[in-house]
This record gives sequence, C-alpha cells and structure tokens, in this order.
Amino acid sequence: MINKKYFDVHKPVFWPSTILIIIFITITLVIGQPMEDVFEDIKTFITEKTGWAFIIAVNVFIIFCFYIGFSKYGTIKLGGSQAETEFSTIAWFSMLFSAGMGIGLLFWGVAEPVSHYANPPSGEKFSIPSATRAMNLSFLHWGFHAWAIYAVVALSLAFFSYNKKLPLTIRSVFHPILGDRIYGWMGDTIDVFAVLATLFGLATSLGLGVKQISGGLSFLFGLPNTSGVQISLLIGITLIATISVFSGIEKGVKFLSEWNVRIAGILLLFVLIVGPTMFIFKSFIQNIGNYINNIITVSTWAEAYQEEGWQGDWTLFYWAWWISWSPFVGMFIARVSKGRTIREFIFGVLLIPTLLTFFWLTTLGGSAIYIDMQQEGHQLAERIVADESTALFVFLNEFPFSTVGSIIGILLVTSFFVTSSDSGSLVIDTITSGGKTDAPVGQRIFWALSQGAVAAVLIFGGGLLALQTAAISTGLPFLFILLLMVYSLYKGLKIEYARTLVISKSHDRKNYEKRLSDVILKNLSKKNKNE
Amino acid sequence: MNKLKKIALFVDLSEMDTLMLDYIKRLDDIFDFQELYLIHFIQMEGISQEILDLMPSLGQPLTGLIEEEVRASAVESFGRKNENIKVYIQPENDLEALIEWFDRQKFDLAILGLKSNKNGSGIFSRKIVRLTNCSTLFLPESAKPHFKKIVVPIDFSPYTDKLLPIAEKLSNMANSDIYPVHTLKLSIQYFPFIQNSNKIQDTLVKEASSNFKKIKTKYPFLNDITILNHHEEKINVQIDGFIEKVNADLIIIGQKGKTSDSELLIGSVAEKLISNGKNYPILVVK
Repeated sequence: MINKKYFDVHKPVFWPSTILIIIFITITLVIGQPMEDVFEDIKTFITEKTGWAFIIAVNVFIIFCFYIGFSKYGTIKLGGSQAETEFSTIAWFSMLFSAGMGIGLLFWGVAEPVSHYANPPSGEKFSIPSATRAMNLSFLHWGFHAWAIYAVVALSLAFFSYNKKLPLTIRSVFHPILGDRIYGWMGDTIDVFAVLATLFGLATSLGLGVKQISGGLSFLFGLPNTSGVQISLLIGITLIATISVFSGIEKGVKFLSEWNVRIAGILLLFVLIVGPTMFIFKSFIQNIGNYINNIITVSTWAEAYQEEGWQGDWTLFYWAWWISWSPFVGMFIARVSKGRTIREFIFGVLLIPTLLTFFWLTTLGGSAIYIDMQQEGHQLAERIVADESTALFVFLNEFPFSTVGSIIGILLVTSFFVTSSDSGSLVIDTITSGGKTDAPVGQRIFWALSQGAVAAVLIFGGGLLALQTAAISTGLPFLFILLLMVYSLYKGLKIEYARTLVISKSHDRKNYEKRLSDVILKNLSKKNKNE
Repeated sequence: MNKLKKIALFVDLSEMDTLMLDYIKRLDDIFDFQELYLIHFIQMEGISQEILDLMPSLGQPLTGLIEEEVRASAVESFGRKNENIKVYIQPENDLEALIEWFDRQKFDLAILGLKSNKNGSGIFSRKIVRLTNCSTLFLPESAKPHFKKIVVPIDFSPYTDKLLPIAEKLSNMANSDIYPVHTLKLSIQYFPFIQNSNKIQDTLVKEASSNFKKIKTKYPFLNDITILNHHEEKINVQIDGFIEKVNADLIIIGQKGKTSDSELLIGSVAEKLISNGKNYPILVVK
C-alpha cells in the first residue's frame, strides 16, 4: 500500500509514453539549433501532403455532429435515462468555453484577425475585403469545426464511460470495434497516442502562453524577449503549477478557473466599453452572417490553385492543434456533461462556446482592425503583426489604463497556464493509470513537469515554429484515431438505441399479475391458518 | 461459454419453473454444474390496486415472499436444501439494473423458458437474450433432458468457430451426434446470371463442401454436412424442417450470422427460431 502511494500506473501506457517523450527531448537537445530545419521539413511535409485529409476530416466531424444531434439518437441521455445533471446550464456553458481555448484565445484573439488583415492569403492588404475575410477566416479556425472535434471526443468519452461503464480513457471509445481487445496492446497503443497528442497539444498552449507572458513583460518593462527568458519563465511558472498540483488541488484549480473566466469577461467588457462599441455590435452580426454564408467555401478551401503555404501556417495548424489536444478538452467536457441528452450536448457544445468565441474575436481582433483602418500608414497592424506575442499589449495600449490592462493580461495568461498545466496533468495521469481519476499525486507532478519540459525544449529547438510542428505532427496520427472514433461511436449509439427500444417494450402483465396474486393469496391463507 | 459451471435460470412463478428445474437436475448429472442461480424479476408496474392493498397484511416484503416461494420450488425439484443453489430477486422493476448485475456475475449459461410469441408471453425471455452477454438456452415445455442429436447450422462466418468447440464439448460429455447443416443463399451478385441457377447452385454446393472439409479436419467428430437449398423458403423454415427431420433435441446457433447488423441485437434466424418456439431447445451462443 505504501509503495503504491506515489506510483500507480498502467505500465504498458505509462512507460512507452515516457520513453518516447524522453527520446524526443534528448534528440532535440543533442541536435540543438539545426532542429529548427527538421521541424520546418516535418511541418511542410505534413501540411502539403496530408492537408486535404485534415480538411475532409474536420468537415466529417461537423456533419456527424449535426446528424447525431438531429437524429433519433439525440434522445439518448449521457449516464442512462435516470441520470441527473451535475451543473446548472449556465455553469455548464461557461465551463465548456473556458476548457476549450483559454490561452489560445488570449494569444491569438488580437493577433490572428490582424494578421489575416495585414497578410491576407490573397488580395490587397489593409483593404475592406481583407478585413472581412480576416474575420471570416478567424471564425473558421475557432468556430464550429473546432468545437465539432471536441464534441466528437467528449461525446464518445462520456457515452462509453457513463452509459457503458467503461474506464474513462480514450481506448474505451473503441469497444464496439475492438471488443475486449481494448484491454490489450491495441488499446495501449491508442492510449499512448492520446498521451502524446495531449502532451504536445498542451505543450503548444503552454509555449504560446509563456511567449506571451515574456512578450508582455518586454513590452511593459523592457525585459529582453528571448528564448532564454521564455525558458526561465516556463520553469518558474511550471513550478508554480506543480505546487498547485501538489497542494490542495481541486479547490485551487476550481477557484482559478472561475476567476479566469471572470477576469477574461471583465477584460472583454472593458474593451467593449472603451473601444468602438457600436462597431463591435454591428460587425459581430455581420461577421456571423458572413461566416455562415461562406462556411462551405472556406472550410473546403485547400489552396489547390495556389502554392503559398499560407494554409499550413494557419488552418492546418489549427485543425491539428484542436485534434491534438482534443483528448484533454474532451475529457474535461465529458466530466461535466453527465445527465445531458445527446441533442442538448451537441448543440450546447457546438453553438454556445462558438458564439462566445466569435464575440471575443470580434471585440479584440475586430476592434484592432477597426482602429487600424482609421489610421494612415497602418502602424498598429504592422506592430501587432511584427510579434504575435505582444499583440494583445500593443492593442491594449490604444486604450486608457493600458498598463493596468496589460498587467491583467499577463496575470490572466499566467493563471490560464497554471490551470491548463494542472488539469492537463490530471488528464494525462488518468490515461496513463488506466482510467483512474484518483491516482497518486506524485504522478501528476511528473506529468506537469514533463509538459513544462517538452514546452521548454520546443522553444529551445525552434520557438513558435517548433510549437506548431509539435501540434501538427501529433495531430496527424490522432486524426485517424478520431475518424475511427466517429465510426465506433455511431456503432455504439446504434446498439444503445436498440437496447433502449428492447427495454422499453412492455411485458405480458396480465399473466404475470395473475401468478403474482396467486402467490400472495396462497401465503395470506397460509398465514391466516397459522394464526 | 467454454465451461459450464455457473448457471442462471430465470423463473417466472409459472408451471414452467418446475419443468425447467427438473430438466436442469437431469442435465446436472451429465455436466456437474457448480452453482445455480434462480433469478426472478418483479414487474410491479401495472399491478392492480387490489393486490397492492393485500401486501401490508403479508407481514414481510414481497421480495422475501417470492424468494421463499422460489426456494421452495427448488427444494421440491432437487429433493433437499442445496447451498449451491442461490436465489436472486430483482425488485423495483429495473431491468437495466438486473442486466448490469447479471453481466457482472459472468454466468456460463442462462436458461429461459421458451414460449411462443402468443399474447406477448415470451417477451421477457427475448429481452434477456438481446441484452446480456451470456449464452442462452431456451427450453420449451416438452424438452427432453438429453442431447442425443444436436443440429449446428454452419454459415462459415466467425461465429461458426465459436459454435463448433461448444458442440464438441457437448458431444464429448453427453455423447451426442452432431449434425452440421448449411443453407445455400443465392447472393445478389449472381443476379445477372440467374438464368443459369442450377450451375451456380452446383458451384455453391462445391464451395460449401470444400469449406466444410477444412472444418472437418479440425473437428473430426462432426457428421457429414447437409446442404439445404430450398430457395423459396426462409432459412429458419429450412432449418426448422431439418431439425424435425432428424428429430434433434437441441440446436446450437450463433447470436449473429454472416450479415451482422448491430442494430439487431440478435441475428434474424435465431430470432425467428425463438419466436416461433417449437418443441426443441435452442442454444444461442454469444
């Protein structure tokens, strides 16, 4: 019992994952700077050769989600027909939102729309068409497609663990296809992929977070914004995250994530009030209309008639990033969604977070574009595009109390970092311990440290490019796992639906009632005789 | 169901219970079961108020009363109290809870009464065979407690590999003769050449025979295969006719056949044999 206190893992998943991560870290450290070229080659290869597969797959996920949501399977309840919800609908929505994106929205909220506006994939820079398209592309990357990926993973996890009572790990989702083989090497392999995808997806987020913190510190206090500073910051914040993992945990994370959402809300409200309020409301409506109108064209656009490499840097990076950390977000969403019907789940996960994200992008990125369009020379856009990591702070500088705003921004990123790292290590720990949610805390510390280490090594080996490559290359194998997951979930739902039909069929009550009453009467008369 | 140690019998308080208990007692002489669970599912829904009013005067809960009743019928059949016979009563009308409990128990075989589909009296049995992971034996009232002749339909699907080891085991323990049977099916891919159906049929017969030869080398105890080819009749009707012809006292069939659709929780041939409920026992292997 004492030996088990700090170590309780499912060895065939824990060790291969750990060894692969150590190999990755060692190679990157040994090769050093030339690793950047390797990352570049890998990224180019994957985006050029397999980009189309990502594009098909993300559209498959959306179609599947809508189909499941509207079909007869929509009435199946997660956790069985008797299950009750654990959170109010409002609380559920806000948790969905904060789980999915967090750091990413802070990092890219200003930077992405402005980048598309300043460096459009085609057409004239700084023009009105490039502004509307900038919003359209940003919406594409953060909209339905992203949430459909999460919805597929989360729904599968929730269905197979609540309704089918299987352990809460990725392998369980494949039970309809593999049967009990999910407990063998096949399941182990799937879980190893899930661990690697989650770890690299998270490391990407953490890396972006730390770049932004460093960018903010450099903007405010003139600290050098180098990879050395970033790695030191990473070590520092990872240690804070580790302390948070080690100490009271649950309460701390809950407290932080609640305040994350509140502070992000205050920041949003602040920009909404002091920024171009009317423009934000008007463009929010127009952007949504534009997005819906163009969704098919934009989401199937594959750079077929131009070879620019634009898509590899943006769209494919996002698809791969969402896919690679879908086990993380999926598991979180699954945990809070017990008692929802599948229809409620699909539309809750797909619609509400998407709309909130759109509002965030319009308020931050849209306003930045608006302010820039009022200026001659487009200095604001130029400065934002010059360094993504300072984009938020350059933008906030346009408003009153900009120092306060920037400090809040830095604190917010830091706190998102800590919560992501903490909950991320919980998810990885759950997978590597075979579905246990109460595994020893020592393991979670181990995973928190490895995430930090991987992020540090990525920054060391090539900065943003390395982060993107990590997300893309772990996203690719997991893409196929997700496609298989769609099939498996469909099969599982089909069987579940057939079972509910069978269960609800009524029995022959008349004959049974007669026999039951005979037994009762017989016993009554026996009892009366005895008395 | 590689071993036959832990057996579940679903009882419904009808006369069938005694018949099935007697049957199991005879089988026990052959197979030497280790544990027998008598399971009853109380369906309180729809019970009339008059009966509900009688309950309080019983002096004990309904579950206890039925448990006593079931235990008494077991003692009656087995002659004495037997601690390897256990009783499980599922209250609260919760079928899902029953299935969950049942699957956790990992029974080797479930035994259910086979009633024809008239008046919906066989619905409970047919729910159980669909919902559990356990192989299920359906017993008609007139079942004889021996397995002299066993029919095994073979469709060369993966399920065939599950059926034959069980047939082998039964044949060893109960000294049975195993009659493999195969029904030819003219698939849609032959449709353009349908005018030549005799020729196709010959090819199919040859194919089936050569497939069977391979099986026979692995399972030498099998009798020669009978190939049925009355295309105008449904497969279950052909098999049913064959069972009656050889006067078999058991048929072993897979839960699903070649065309397995997950929406049907049980294959259509098995389903039809069960719902037509003739006078031979049916073993549905999962």
